[in-house]
Amino acid sequence: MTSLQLTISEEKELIEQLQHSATQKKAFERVVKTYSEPLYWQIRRMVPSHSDADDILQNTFLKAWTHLEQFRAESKISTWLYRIAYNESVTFLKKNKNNMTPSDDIDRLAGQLEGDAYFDGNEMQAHLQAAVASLPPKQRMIFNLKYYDEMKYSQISDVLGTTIGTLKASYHQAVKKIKLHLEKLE
Amino acid sequence: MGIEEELKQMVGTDNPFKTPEGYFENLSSQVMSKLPEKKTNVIHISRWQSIKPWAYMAAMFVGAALMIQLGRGVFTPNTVTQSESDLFAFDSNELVLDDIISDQDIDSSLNDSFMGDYSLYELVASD
Repeated sequence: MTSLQLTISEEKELIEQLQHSATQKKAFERVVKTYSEPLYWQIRRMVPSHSDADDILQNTFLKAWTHLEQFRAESKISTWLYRIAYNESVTFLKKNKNNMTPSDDIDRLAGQLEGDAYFDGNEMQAHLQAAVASLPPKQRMIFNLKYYDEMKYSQISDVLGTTIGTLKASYHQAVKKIKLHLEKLE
Repeated sequence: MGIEEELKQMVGTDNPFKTPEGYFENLSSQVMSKLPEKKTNVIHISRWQSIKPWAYMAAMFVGAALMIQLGRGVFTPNTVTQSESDLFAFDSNELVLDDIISDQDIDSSLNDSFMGDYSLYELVASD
């Protein structure tokens, strides 16, 4: 999340530019340049395939652009984009149910990942990703935002609209489940 | 050590994924080229909405005309009812002037009108 942070004045200036038709497109280009990479990685951890992540990212920005007038600056631009990216990822996962990995399919997916041209990790990391992919989409998102991005629970709560207590419980369960699976490998 | 720390020690938090070369360099221009142009907001006005002010104005005039008409009816004395007016109705074809006024009546009227009285002329001409 640290890479997603603009200063307060930068964010304010960007929001103002986004709200005026004359400066809108240029400001949106700045949004794309600033947030495309962290958003891509967030999506990629939700759907391990690069081409799927790329499609979802493009749709995320397209949706943000078409619904720009509905962005009322009540939340940060990054939070708004994360929310759209999450919703787009969930929509994709629902449409392609074969991407939802059942718990007993983790080993198979880990094997697939290790053979993927755009996967650079070791066996343990492949199993970690496969185990993450076996989690329900919301829990998957919670795990990724906390584990990799070290996002605060309050920020995750803004993105997902879930209470902090529920988030904590969900993250703890996810970590426990993943650790249990990885311990079997050792 | 918490369960999260144990997991981090076990696997780490490094990103195991990679992208095609130069993917992020072209990404923003690729995204920007796919964005549709924003349409200018066109407000569609229905036929009724477009004629509504004129309809209201016409209705106002009609209403004003009716009020005036109504006002006339109220404030003009019209004490003769239909049945009463029937009493005064007559057929002009049935009446001949001779039947109403005789020659004698005309002569006596002329005599009573002082038309031959010279003293009247003197009175009018005097100062």
